[in-house]
Amino acid sequence: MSMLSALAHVEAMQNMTAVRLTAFRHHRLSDRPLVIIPLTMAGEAGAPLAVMAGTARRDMTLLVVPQPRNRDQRFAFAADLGRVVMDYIDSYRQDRRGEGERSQYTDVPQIIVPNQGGVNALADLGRMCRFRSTTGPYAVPEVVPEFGMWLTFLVDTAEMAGTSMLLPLTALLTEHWATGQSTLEDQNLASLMAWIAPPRGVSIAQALEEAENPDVCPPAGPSTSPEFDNRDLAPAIKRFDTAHALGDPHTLAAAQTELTELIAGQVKPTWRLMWAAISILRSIPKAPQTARRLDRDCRLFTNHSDYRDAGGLPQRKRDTAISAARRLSQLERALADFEAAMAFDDPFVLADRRSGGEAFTGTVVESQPNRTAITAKNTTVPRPRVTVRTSDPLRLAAGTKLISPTMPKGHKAVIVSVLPDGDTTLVTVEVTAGMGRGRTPKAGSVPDLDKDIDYLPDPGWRPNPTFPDSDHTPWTHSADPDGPDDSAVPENAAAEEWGHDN
Amino acid sequence: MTTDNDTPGAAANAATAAILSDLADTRHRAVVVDSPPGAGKSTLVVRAAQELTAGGERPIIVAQTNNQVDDLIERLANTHPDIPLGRLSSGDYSPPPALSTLANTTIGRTLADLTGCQIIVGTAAKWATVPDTTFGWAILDEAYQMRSDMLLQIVERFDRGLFVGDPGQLDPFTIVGTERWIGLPHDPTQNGVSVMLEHNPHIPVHRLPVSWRLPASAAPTISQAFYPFTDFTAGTGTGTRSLDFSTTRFGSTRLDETLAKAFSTGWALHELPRRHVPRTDTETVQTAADLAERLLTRGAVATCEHNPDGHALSAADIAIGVAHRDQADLVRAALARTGHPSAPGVAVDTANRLQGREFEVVIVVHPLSGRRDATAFHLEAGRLCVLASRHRQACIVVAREGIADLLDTHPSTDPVHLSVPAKFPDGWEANHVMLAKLAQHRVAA
Repeated sequence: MSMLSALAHVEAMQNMTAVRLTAFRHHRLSDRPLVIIPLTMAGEAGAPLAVMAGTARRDMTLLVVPQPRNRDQRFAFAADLGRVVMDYIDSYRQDRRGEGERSQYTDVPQIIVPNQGGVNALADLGRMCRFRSTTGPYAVPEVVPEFGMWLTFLVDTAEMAGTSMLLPLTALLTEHWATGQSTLEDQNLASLMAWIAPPRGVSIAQALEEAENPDVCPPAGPSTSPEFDNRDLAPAIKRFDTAHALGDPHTLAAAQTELTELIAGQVKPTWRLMWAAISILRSIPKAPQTARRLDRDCRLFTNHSDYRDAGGLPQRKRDTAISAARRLSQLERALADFEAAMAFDDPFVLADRRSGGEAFTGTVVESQPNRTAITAKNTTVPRPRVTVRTSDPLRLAAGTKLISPTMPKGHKAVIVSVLPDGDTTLVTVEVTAGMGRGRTPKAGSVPDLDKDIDYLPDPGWRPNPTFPDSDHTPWTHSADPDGPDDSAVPENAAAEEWGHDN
Repeated sequence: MTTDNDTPGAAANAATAAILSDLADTRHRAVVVDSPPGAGKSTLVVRAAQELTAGGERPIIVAQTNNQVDDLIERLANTHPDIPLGRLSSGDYSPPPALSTLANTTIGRTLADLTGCQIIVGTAAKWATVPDTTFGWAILDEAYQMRSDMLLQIVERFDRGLFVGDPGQLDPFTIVGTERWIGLPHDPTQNGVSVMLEHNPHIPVHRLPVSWRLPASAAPTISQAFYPFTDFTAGTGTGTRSLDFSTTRFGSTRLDETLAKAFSTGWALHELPRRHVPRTDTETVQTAADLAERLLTRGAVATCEHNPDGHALSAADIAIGVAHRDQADLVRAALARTGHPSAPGVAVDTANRLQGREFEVVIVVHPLSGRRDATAFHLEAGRLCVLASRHRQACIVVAREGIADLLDTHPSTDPVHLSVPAKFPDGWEANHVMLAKLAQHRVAA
C-alpha cells in the first residue's frame, strides 16, 4: 500500500466515511451487464447450490440445485444457466466491423459477480462443464460444454488487468474508494456498501453493524451463512430428498418451491445491493483510456468467438510450459500498461505514484527550445531540453523514458540528469517525440518556462517475446522422452471416472 | 575426500577440474554449478569460456544485467587478451569508459556485427531477440536469477548449457498475483535452473566448496544459516585478514565500541532500544550512516592476502545494505548530512541491487528491525543472505532490539501446496541462526 492510499484509509477511519482514491472509474461498465450471484454448497468442493442471474434489476432468473450432491441435477442446472448466459453472450456475437483479419465484434458482454469468490465459483463451474461429452454415457446437453468453455475464457480474461468482461463488484468499488476497514473486510460487499452508501437515515456505524448480521445482510456468496445452512437449508434439502424418494409429484413440487423461496430470501438482498452499487459506479465519470481497453476486449472476445465457431477444443486443465510463459508475459504487460494508463488519466493516481517517487510534477525553470542533435543517420532533429524543479521525492534514474499527461498527445521525453538542489530536485529532460516533422518543434510541443508539468515513466512498446513453437517444447521444459511421463503432475495418477448418484 | 583436498585451494581446484571434465563429456546437455557467495563464480565462467574456446567451440555467455555483462567482458579481456570478444547490446546501450578502451572487444547490435568473435556476451533479454542461430555451448551466469520463461526464450540458441549461480540469493519474482501455475513442474515464475533440473534429473550438479570472499569469521555462519546442506569453507585462514584503526579513539562513542567489535571479531550487532518504528525510522537510518562516517573519519587499514602490507579503507570499500528503496534514499541523505567529504562515495543499495557485489566492510540495516510483523518479504532467506555475505572483512548489523521475539510471534505461515518442494533454507530458521550468531557480538546502543 502506498503512502497516499494508506493515508486515505486512515482518513476514512477517522471521519467514518469512504474516501475517494481515484477521480475516474477505470473499468468500463456495460449498458446491459449480466449480473450473476453464484452460491455453492458448504463442504462439497465445486457443488453449485444456486445462481441468480439477470440483465436488469427487475429481470432476474433464480436457478436452484435442490440436491447439490446429485450430479444429474447439477448438469441440468448447468444447462439452464448455460442457456441464460449463452443467450446473453450470443447477443454480442452479431455486430461485426472491419474486413478480413481486422474484423471484430463491436461490443463485448460483461458479467458482474459480487466478489472474487464469485469469480472462483464460475471458474470451478467452467472447469466442471467444459470437458463433458454430449454423447455416450453420462451425456449432457450441447450447451453445457460450450458454456463451460466460455466461462473459462471469461475467468481467464478476468486475471488480466484492465479487462472488463468478468468483474467482481468489490474490486470495482475498492478501486475507487478507500474505507476504514481492512482489505479482507472489503471483500464483504454489504459492509463495503455500508461505507460507501449507507441506507438513507442510517449512520455508517449502524449500517456496518447490520452488514455483519447474516439475518439482515446474508453473505454475498459463494458460501452461505452457516446458521442458514444448519437452520433452514439442511432440513429443506432433507424434505426434498424424502419427497424425491417417495416419488409423489405434489410433495416434490412443494419441497422444491420451499427451497427456491428459502434461497431467494438469501440472494435478494445481495441482488438489490449489487444493482445499487452498479448505479453508483455509473455516476462516476469513466477514464479516457477506457475506450482503448474496450478495443482490446473486443479483440480477445472476437478471437475466442471465432475459435468456438471453428469448433476448437476446450481449454487445457493446465497450461503447457510455453502457453504458461506466454500468458505470464501477457499478464505482466497488461498490468504495466493498465497502471501507467491509470496514472496518465487520473491525477489522484498520479499523486499516489509521485508519493512513491515513481513520477514527478514540477515547474520548468530552464528551457532550451531550439536545441538540436544529429542522429546516427546524419539528420538534424530537434532535441529541446528543459529543466524542471520538483519537490517530489523522485526516484527515477537518468535514461528513464517519460510521458506527460499535461503535454499534447505523442509527447515523449527522456531524463538526462537528476540533481538534488536543497530540498528540491532539478530534473533535466530531453524531449524526443511529439514535436512534428520539421526542423523546429511545432508550437506548444516543448514545455514553456514557468509551466507546471507532470511526468511519469513510459511503459513503452515492447515486442511480444518469441517462444519456441508449442509442439516443440525444449529439453529444459519437458521431461526426457525416455523417462516416466507426466509423473510430475500427481493428480493424473488419481484420475476418476464420473458416475451417477443413485 | 583425499588428503589433497584438505587445503581450500586444493578443494577448489578439484571442484573446478570435475566441472571442466563434465563439460568435456558429451553425454550431458547441461552442467549446473552452485556457488556460495564469493566462491569464484566469475573466475569459473572465464575459465570455462577459455577452455571451450580452446576446444574449438564458439560459446556464448548469458548474464542477467548490463552491469554483469560489462564486468564479465572486462574480466575476460584482461585474462585472455588474445581471444576476440563480442558484446551483444541494444541500440541505446552506451559502454562504460573501461570497456571502450579494450582492444579485443567489439560491440554490436546483431550477430552479423560480431562474426569474428570467439566469445559473445549479452544479457538474457538481448539474447531473446536473436533469431535462428544455434551455438554449441552457452554459459549462463547468475542462472538462479533468471526466470524460467526467460530461459524458454533463449534455450533454442544453444545445444548445451553451463548454468552457474548462487541458489541462496533472492529468487526472481513477478508482480502478477496468480496461483495458476503453483505446483507445475514448468511454473514460469520459478527460476530457470530449478525448472531445468525438474525435467532433467540426471544433470550433474556441482558446487564450489570455498568462499574466497567471506572471511574465516563469516563463512561457517553463512554456510550454516543459508546453505544448510551444502557446506562450504572460507578460503583464508583466521589470521590472514584483519582490520586496524589508523587513529586512536578520540572522544568515546557507542559507535567506536561497535566498530572495535567488528574489527576484532568480523561481526557486530549495533542494537538500538526496542521500539516499533516505520521502516523509514530516522534513528536507525542515521545510525547506519554515522557508523560509515565514523569508520571513514577514524580511518582503517585492511590487511588481507592481496594486500599483506595493508590497504587504507576508502568510501568505495564500504557499503550500506537495506531492504527497501526508500530506506536507501534516506541513508544517502543521512550520509550527506554527516558532512564527511567522502561519505557520498559509500555504496547504499537494496539487497536486490547489491547481489553479486563485494566490499571490505558492509553495514546492514536488518530487514526486521523495529517491525511489528514478519512478512514473507522480510523473512526471505535470500534477502538476509545477500546482505550478510557481501563483506571481505567485517559486517555490522544495525537493528532494534526484539527481533528474536518478533520471529517467535510470527512463525512462517506460507501456505503449503501439493508438488511444491519445501524451500530450504527456511527464512524463519535462517533468521534465527543469524540472530544467535549476532547475539555473541552485540553492542547495546
